[in-house]
Amino acid sequence: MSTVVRVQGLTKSFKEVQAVKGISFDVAKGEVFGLVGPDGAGKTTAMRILAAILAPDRGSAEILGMDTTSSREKIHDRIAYMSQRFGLYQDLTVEENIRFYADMYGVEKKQQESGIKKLLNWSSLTQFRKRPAGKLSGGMKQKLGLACALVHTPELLLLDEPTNGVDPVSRKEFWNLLYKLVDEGLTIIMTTAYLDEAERCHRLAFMNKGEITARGTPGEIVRLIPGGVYKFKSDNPFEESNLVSSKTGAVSTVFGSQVHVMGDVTEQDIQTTVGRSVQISKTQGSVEDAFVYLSETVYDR
Amino acid sequence: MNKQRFRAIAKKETIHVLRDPRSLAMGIAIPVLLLVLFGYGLSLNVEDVPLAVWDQSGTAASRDLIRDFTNSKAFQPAGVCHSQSETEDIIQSGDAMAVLVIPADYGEKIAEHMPATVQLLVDGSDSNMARLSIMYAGGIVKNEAQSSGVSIITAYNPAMDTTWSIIPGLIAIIVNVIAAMLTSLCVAREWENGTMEQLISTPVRKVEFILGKLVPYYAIGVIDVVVAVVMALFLFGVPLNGSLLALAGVSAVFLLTTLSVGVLVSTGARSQLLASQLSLIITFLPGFILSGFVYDTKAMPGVVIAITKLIPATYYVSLLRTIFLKGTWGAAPSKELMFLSLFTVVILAATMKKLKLNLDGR
Amino acid sequence: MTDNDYAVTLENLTRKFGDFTAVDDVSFSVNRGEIFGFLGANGAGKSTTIRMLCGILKPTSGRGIVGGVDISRTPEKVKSFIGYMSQKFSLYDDLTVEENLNFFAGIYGVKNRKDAVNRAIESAGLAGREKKMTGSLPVGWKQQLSLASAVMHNPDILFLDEPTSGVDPVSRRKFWETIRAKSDDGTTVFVTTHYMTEAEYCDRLSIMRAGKVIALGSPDELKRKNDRDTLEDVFVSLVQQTGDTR
Repeated sequence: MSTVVRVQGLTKSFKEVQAVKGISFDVAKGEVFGLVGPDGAGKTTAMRILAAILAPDRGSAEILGMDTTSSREKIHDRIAYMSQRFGLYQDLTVEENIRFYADMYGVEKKQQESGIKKLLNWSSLTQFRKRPAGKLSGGMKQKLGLACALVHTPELLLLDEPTNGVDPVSRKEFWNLLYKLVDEGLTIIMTTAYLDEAERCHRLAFMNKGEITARGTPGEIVRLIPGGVYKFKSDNPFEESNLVSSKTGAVSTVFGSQVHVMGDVTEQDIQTTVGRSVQISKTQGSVEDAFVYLSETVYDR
Repeated sequence: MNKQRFRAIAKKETIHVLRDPRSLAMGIAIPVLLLVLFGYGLSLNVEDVPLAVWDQSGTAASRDLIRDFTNSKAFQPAGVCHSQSETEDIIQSGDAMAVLVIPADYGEKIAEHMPATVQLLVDGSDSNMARLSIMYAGGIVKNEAQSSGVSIITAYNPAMDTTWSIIPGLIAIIVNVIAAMLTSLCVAREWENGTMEQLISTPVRKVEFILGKLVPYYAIGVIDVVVAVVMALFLFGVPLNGSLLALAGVSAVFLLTTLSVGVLVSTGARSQLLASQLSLIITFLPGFILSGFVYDTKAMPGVVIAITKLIPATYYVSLLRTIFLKGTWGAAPSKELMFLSLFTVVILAATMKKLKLNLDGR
Repeated sequence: MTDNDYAVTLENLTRKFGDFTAVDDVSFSVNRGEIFGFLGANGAGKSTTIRMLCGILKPTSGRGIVGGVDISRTPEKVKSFIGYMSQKFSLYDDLTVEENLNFFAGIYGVKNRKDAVNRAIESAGLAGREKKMTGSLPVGWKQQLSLASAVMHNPDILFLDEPTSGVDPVSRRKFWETIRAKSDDGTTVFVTTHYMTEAEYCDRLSIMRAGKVIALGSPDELKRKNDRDTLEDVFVSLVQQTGDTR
């Protein structure tokens, strides 16, 4: 498989803050690659460098064999970037927005007609094509943003937190659309703060404080939690979770009314700490568990 | 430059303008409103201007003339002078704002039906009052001695050659301010709305971006000029002594100048609010004070004169006055046009340099 | 039971915008001290409902009782005992943490302002960051500050409109811990979210579609009733039935 993105020692600072500290990774053609991590981890900065709209201080990012600093315009011709705010013109209609980006990417007028028709159909926005973008719901805005990004059939798609504020049904549709594209050979790099989404990526890089602290397939990431995850139900989940983590030194988190415990701990430890007879089950855990585990253990370091 | 991208930006920008009633109002309604307000506001009737008289003639004809002045609504008697120094004193003291000086040979000339001249000394410190006093005086004198051709010499504000000089100057100032303000919003708005980040990830080039943005505002500017000129001619009755073609040509160049200033401001400012305030300050203040629109720049200190020569509005004010009122089109205007063109090129070059189609340094 | 046993009661609440019915004959009640999750697709009518309950939008018909007060009759009275936090975090970026809190304490007319601000800083975990410019804070901290501002005046009922959009899981968890503590102290929490892992934290949930409430119950009840393992599946199956995405 050919490499679409090659990042080596990428570093970027803003004033005294080091946003990205020498990260390196490769992304192959047809991959869905997720950059996940807490707020301020440097995900958006990394994405902007990859989109060739921000120059790194040190290191390099190569997209389709071209350097993001020296071949900005050539890269822009062949990739698409969807920023957090989708970049839609609120007073332009759905169709006008797509047409504008088609023109910006130099899509020939002849091809535009059929291409736009196809995109509208594909994103189920055909019946809304005369509606101003500002009057669309969050889910439709997101699909329109995607349609605008895809109008010039890019080879790489960069999505920066594309699902913020979008409801589960729209998110599901969005992912179905993405997978169709991937089947056609598109490469995708995305950032997200929602870990149920990260599970849908082929490979993940976990970023924290500007560094990549873990990487691998979602399965590999989950296996980074040593010894799996203990779960028990609680009426005071936050209280008992805090109790367990402070007494045993394990990492503990809450999902609804469930307490999850990870790290160097046994079932017996949990029982004695909680001080009541609880039904504990053990599972492999999820990427979200891994996220919490990695965040907490890195914070402690 | 890619024509497709240039057209796409121009079209999109036009849609923004057409769909936003506020920007249309600012672009077209406000200039009309300003022109009406200032046009009438600055040329409202004056009444009871205190007028002193130095009658060196002392004839029946001179007394008739004085009576006509004092009987008119515009003037009221404010004393009599007997010497040159007294006329200066009475204006300086503020007891009179104008002095009618009738020469000794006035009566004889009228009697012999020969052209006669009277002098009106006016306190130029209130230029509006002064202008109107002269206008009224002109009317009275004409009425009095139609056949003898009495003429008026004014003093204290010699640059003020005609009543209607205000309107062409006003057009220049309004076009200057509005056009710069319109474009000052256009780049800052993209940053504020988050669309800029998306736009710069496309292959768009600076030239396409800047020129595309200028197109709709240029159209609005042209409409403004046309509307203003029509109002000047038909509402205020200002004569157009020069050629319409010259007027169009000069305005075409000046519009580009002031729109470019707006784009440059917008490129540097981070918010629409800041951009609009900045453009207002840098176009309105110098335009109003230093362009020769209100104050006679010739009387200013050397350094200030040098500064006035760097303000595009100075040239447009003067060009419009020349075309409207003098009607001449000699060697001087082309020099002024040259400056405006050069200025525009410099501003656009600076905009190209200042505009960043990336996030570096943001 | 009288109206007063409920923190919030909706009776046939309806709001129309022209021909469009945003909220269509909705009735339910929220218990005191409950965390009530308000779910639905984008444009289902959630925000319109919340705006009516906060007294900033008049219902077309029906009744809404918040804290014993009729929202159509005395909407301004409602505002004194509710707190509201939106996804946009209504904070002033150019004010410091402390200045923001002082400001909100001021507009809510909080007594002993200094104590209240100190308590808020403590509870938001922002001790040591009082002098930081709000704009420079990471999203997670902003969210905590925004919440602290919304509860400066100890409101009985707290409305949260997508409070965790774009916030990472660790910060989100801290946020929910704070919310749970508030509810344990007797505050009623009315919250909208698009994230079903968060909906799990709620005592009861309602799901809206096209202006109507189509499901109501605890997370476990909803899962059982619809025979699904996760709330995400419950939501998708219920909302997708008509394919309605207004």
